[in-house]
Amino acid sequence: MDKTIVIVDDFQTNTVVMRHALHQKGFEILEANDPSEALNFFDGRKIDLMVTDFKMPGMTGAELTKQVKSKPQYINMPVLILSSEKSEQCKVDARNAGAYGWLNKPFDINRFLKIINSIFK
Amino acid sequence: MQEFKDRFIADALELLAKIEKSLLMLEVRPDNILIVEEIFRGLHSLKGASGMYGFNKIGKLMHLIENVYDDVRDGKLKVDTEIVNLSLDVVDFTNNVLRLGEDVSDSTIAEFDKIEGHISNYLSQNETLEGDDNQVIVEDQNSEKTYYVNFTLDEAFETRGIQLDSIFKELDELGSVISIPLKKEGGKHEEWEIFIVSKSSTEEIEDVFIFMMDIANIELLANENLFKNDQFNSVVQKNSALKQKNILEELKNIIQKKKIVEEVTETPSKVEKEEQQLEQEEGSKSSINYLRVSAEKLDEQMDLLSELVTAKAELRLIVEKEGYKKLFKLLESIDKTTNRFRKNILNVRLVQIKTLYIVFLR
Repeated sequence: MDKTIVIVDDFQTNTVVMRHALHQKGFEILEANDPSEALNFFDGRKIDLMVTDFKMPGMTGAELTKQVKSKPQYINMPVLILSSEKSEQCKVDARNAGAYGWLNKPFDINRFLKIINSIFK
Repeated sequence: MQEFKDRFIADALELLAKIEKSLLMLEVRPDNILIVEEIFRGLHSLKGASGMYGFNKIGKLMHLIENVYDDVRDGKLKVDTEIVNLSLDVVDFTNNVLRLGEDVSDSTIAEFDKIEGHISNYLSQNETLEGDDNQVIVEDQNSEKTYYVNFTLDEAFETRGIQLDSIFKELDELGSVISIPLKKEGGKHEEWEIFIVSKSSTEEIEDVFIFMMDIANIELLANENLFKNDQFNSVVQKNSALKQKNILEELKNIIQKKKIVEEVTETPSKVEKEEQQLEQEEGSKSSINYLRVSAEKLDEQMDLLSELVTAKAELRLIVEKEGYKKLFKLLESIDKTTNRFRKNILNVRLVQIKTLYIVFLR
């Protein structure tokens, strides 16, 4: 499958398990544990999806999305936030930034894979 | 997977050590919000990750203690010795569970129950427990269900990064789908209504619309295929042909009416059968007295009963929707009394002609 996914989470064990599971399904993965590091991936190359944590040091998932979506070539790229944040305001911030998908943590990895697969159907 | 689990355990133990250190600092400086934030972030990370590796009890305790720190951050609670002690209990429990590698032993469960009870008590004393999620209908996992979805595509739909076609394809895989593109009026955006009959859970349906949750209204209408209900089916088909939006309240009324009819005509339950038997036994012991009552009055009783059943059904909807747990017991009692009343009134109304003759003769 010729699809590239960027995954961002400051908790490394999360990105490792997601990378492993997605890689097995044939996705190309770019992984970052720091949102500012993740921004480097968006240098014009083709990226089909960003999966990011919300609460991270230095920058929230919403702020990261806003910066990424300010680049015209990524404006229509779907963004899925994975978070255990309960606040409705965080969801609103995410949507205003252009991140419309929200999956509550903790989640089952098979459910996660099913959602990712459905995005590319 | 074990490799990742081991890695998670190692990282989590490291994070716990940091949280423990911060807790000891917090005990000395309870007003330091930076330390509170540091602890909150650590608990939050552990809560999110623990479930992925099957440590559900850790996730649950982290969720509870995180609520406490959430209230501290919001200024609703002040850090005190009890909060620090509860947090240290959670840290100790998590340390032990991670070192054991599982959370299912009897002693672990007992310890979990104890800490969960302490935190819940603390939260309820401070009235900070979250309310139950409102759910109109309790989902029956095994049965076929009918879902209703309505959404209007906004101008920025493309920036969501999803295709409507792929959503329909996915729904088709879950069950039978009726999708109705509604008639556009004036400058309105494209609006859709979708009915899905499927055994899938609400969560599975919501996952299909995961990038549209802010614009999609998803409702579980019933734990059955509503298209087998002629009245429901004809209303939806009619509106579908006219590309006209269904009035959800009207559909719900049809479902409710059917429910009431079923309730009034349903066969007696085991409890009712026992009650009937008991009454028959008691009746056979006592002498029988008859009274003459006009059919009009009995009809009025029947009408009143039907109003009572409707009111009871509405009350049940409200209680379930608002999650008034304390009213569930009372509702059960009203259910029981209404059932007995219904049975009695039906017995009275359907009195045998033969018996009436005997009364007249007397």
